Amino acid sequence: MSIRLRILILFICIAILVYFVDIIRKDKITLKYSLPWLAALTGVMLTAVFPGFINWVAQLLGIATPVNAIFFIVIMMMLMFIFLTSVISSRNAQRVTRLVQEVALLKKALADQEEKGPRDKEHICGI
Amino acid sequence: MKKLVIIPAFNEEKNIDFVVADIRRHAPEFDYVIVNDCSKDGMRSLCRRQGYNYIDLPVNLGIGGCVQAGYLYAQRYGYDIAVQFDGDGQHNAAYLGPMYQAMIELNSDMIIGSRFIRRQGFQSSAMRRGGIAFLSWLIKCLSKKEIKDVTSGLRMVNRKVIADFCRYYPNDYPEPETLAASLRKGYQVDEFPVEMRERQGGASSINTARAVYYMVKVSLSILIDYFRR
Repeated sequence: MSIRLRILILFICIAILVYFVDIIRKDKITLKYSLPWLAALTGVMLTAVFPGFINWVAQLLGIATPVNAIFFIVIMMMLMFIFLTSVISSRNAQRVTRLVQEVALLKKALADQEEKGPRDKEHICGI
Repeated sequence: MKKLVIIPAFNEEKNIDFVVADIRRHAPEFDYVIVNDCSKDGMRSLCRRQGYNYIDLPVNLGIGGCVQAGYLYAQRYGYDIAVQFDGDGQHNAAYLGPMYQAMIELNSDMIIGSRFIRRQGFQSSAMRRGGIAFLSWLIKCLSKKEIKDVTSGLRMVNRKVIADFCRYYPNDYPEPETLAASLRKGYQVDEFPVEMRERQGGASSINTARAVYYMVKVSLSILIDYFRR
C-alpha cells in the first residue's frame, strides 16, 4: 500500500467515524447497532496504519495476495450484517403487527364505550 | 355458544354491503366483525355510515395480520366459535349454520368449507386446482390426513384453535400452513361441502405472475411447519 492510499483511507475512516459519533449522539442509530460498524471501521484504520497486519492475516488464512484477504473478510462481515438486519427486521415486523392489532382493538373498545355514553364505566373486555 | 364471523376486508367497498346482508339474512345467529385492513377505498366511511361492526387497522398488515386481528377480537370478546369469511362475496352465509351443526356433530376443532367434495359451484381454474391438489397431497404426506380444499378461506374454529391463531398466524398465504399446523397439533379437522361464488368485484390477491412464488413459499412453509414442535 502506498503512503498516499494509506493517508486517504485514514481520512475517509476518520470522516466516517465523526459522522457515526454524530448520529449516535443524535439518537439516529443506537449504540448497539453501530458497534459492528465501529469495529469494522477500526479494523480498516488499523490496516491503513499498520499494513503489515493484513499481510500477516493473509498468510494466516492461506490467501496469496493481501488484497484478496481484505475482500474476503469484508464480504464475510457484510453478509453477517445483512443477515442480522434481516433477523431484526423480521422481529420488528412481528412487533409492529401486534401493536397495530392492539391499536385497532383499543380504538374499537373506545368507540363502543363512547357510544354507550361516558358515564357507563363497564370494563373494556380483556384490556 | 357465541359465534363470530370474521370478515377480513381490503378495498371491498363494492362487496361489503352484500356480504353483511348475506350474513344477517342467512346466518342471523352469528355476530360479525369486519376487519378493515387500512383499505384505500371508502371502506371505513362506508362501515361507519352503515353502522357495521368493524375494527380498523391503522396500518395495512396484509391478510395474515388482518385475520389474526379478527381472532384476537374473538378471544377478547369471549367467542366460542369463530369463522373466517371472505369480504369479497365468494362465500355463502347460508352454509354457516350447517357448518356449525357439522362441527358439533363431528366434534371438530376446525371445519373447512370445501369446494372439492361435491364439486359444485365455482371451481376456479385448472391451474389453481392443480396447485391446490399438490398442496393437499403434501399435507397428506406429512399429516396422514386428506383435506381437499387446503386453500379455502372459509374455516370455522373453536376456542382452542382461536387461542393458537392469536399466538401465531403467518402473514401471507396463511391458509395451508395454518391447516398443516393444526393437524400437527392433533386437532380434529374436517371438511364440509360448500359452493362458492366467483368474486363479486375487485381483483383476487393472487395473479398468475405470483403463482410460482405462491407455490414455493407455501410448500416451504408447510415443510418447515413439519419441523416445528
